[in-house]
Amino acid sequence: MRIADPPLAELLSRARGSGLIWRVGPFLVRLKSRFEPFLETFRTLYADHRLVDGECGEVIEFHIELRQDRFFRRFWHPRVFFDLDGPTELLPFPLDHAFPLFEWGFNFGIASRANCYLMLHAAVVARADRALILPALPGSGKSTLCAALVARGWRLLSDEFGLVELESGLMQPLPRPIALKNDSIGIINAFAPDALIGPTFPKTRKGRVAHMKPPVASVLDEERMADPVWVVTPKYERGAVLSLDPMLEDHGFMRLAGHSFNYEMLGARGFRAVARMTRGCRFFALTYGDLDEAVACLDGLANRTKLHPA
Amino acid sequence: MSLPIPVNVLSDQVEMPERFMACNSHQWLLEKFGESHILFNSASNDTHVLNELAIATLDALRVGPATLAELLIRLGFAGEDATTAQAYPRLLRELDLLGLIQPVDA
Repeated sequence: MRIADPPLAELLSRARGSGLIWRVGPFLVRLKSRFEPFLETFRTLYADHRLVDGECGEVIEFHIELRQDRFFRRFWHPRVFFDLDGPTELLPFPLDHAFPLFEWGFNFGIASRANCYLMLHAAVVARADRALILPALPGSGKSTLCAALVARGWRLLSDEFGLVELESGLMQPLPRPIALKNDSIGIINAFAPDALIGPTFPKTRKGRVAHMKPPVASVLDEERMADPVWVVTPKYERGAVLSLDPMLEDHGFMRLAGHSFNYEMLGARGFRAVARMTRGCRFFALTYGDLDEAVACLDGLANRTKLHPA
Repeated sequence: MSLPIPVNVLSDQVEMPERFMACNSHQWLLEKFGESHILFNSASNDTHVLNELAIATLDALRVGPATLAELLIRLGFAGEDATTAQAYPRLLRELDLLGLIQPVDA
């Protein structure tokens, strides 16, 4: 059963009771919330993710509760708290920003717990099970480019986390809504009018934020791993002439290690994983000022790269 | 990643220990990418990007402890110009500060 299948009232009843249990990529999540507008947005943007029976017997990795204030604070500037197995150090948000808090809190939970993977701070998309990794600093246009590629048919693995399986070296999908900020909301609206973008949340810590729903096909393929093949560091510059410059392997190694949440924590396993990726990938720096050109350029890169012999 | 080493620590005025040996070399993992060697030291959890001379020095010290003169011979620098000989102690001090080699009592 998908999250969008039961009526909102039933979803709300479960979320207010023992919690909704659902799957995203390799993780099971239990979500509790009493706040209907949040669940409505959640139901829209996670529509195709699978609901799981509470008696499934599997380990639930994340127990999340979006908790509201008590007593008079419930009515005076109401706030929402993100709990992960109990209270966390995350500061509360205004109640009507519950969805961005859920997304950022969930990111925090994954980044601090999913250490069975090498975790890269990167968007990851795939074409024919070959992954294109976009590691970048905030503000570089990573999410905008990721959303544009997904809108043009690339499979979304993640907008935020490049999860590398340590044993196989393959990329694990974690398809969740793509967070768009400020101008990129309008840019993606114009670029992909058919994309489903949720409500815009003004005045968050990162400015205006809205989320693009992941394509159904990407969610259905959330167990299909992809082979890391290209690492492209994007940089958006207004009016820039498009350039895609190869990067030396040693710089590529440092780029991957530097964009990992847990490279140092994993020790030798992290080093081996990054070294393996470095040997298997081609590295580029992409500067772009026009989204159509950038997408065409990366499409061309994928089309020019021959498949490795089996 | 390694922290940058303060310049004053690398001053050529610091007295040079007599002999050096490799530290925990069985805990090193090495990869070569392009011109660079990338060494992960499991003992310190640090990653170092090293050039050819640094990696040759580490290889030479893995054979066994050596004085500066012995190292220069092992690396084939014996009788080389004065510039190499002068620059070399600085590299040894840098590798020492990174915890990859250490002085040995004579």
